Amino acid sequence: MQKKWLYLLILACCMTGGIWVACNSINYASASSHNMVSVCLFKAATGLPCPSCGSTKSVVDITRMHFADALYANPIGFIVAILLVILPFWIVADLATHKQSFYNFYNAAELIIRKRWVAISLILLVAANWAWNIYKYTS
Amino acid sequence: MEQQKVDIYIATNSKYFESHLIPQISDMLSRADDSKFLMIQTVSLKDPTSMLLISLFGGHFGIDRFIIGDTGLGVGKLLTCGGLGIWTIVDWFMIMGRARELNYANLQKMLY
Repeated sequence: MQKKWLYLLILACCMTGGIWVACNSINYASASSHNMVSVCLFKAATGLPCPSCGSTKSVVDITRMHFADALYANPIGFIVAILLVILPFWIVADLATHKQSFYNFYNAAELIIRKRWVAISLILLVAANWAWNIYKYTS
Repeated sequence: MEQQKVDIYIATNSKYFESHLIPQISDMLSRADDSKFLMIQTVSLKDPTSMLLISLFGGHFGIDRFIIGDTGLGVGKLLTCGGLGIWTIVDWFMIMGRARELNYANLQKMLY
């Protein structure tokens, strides 16, 4: 993927994510946590949560320093929160200094994730998280 | 490469590439060495129609992106519930073009 498209896509994603978290944060303050709007296609189609369902609540909990609640909602929220904070700064810094450190990091990370044992362990982690998510939802 | 071989390759594999790139591919192949014919047959080409089906059923988890080789974007899709559902739907329309684009890139890599 070309550098400029990758940067544009990630900036757009971070902006949408930021607005989404802010909207849900306001909603969270005025209503109970179960009132969050679900946009998950998988949940709408099957009635079961997907591996990353609950990450919005998790990120909102992190912004309020409720780390235990965030972990229970979905551990993926921690990764998303870190990425939401770091990526925009990294990309803007890259664009300002005409470097491509993030692009190089992205390509290197892709190569590492494609290694068989890394891929299998990550898939197992996501599957375990998904099983936990379904268990939390049904119990 | 002989024109006959180029024609055979184009006739059997044209669905894997963007139609506007076919003349370029034909030109590239005819300029390539004859010994590369076997090698280009081994280039793994992703079927755009299968990718569309995978995108329809597994796009929410980023499986379509993982399969065509955009691992980073696949992770992004998986972590964000399919980009809040929006990216999933956008990819239903984008994935066939992206698969064809990557098939062309893979063929180019093999030839140069």
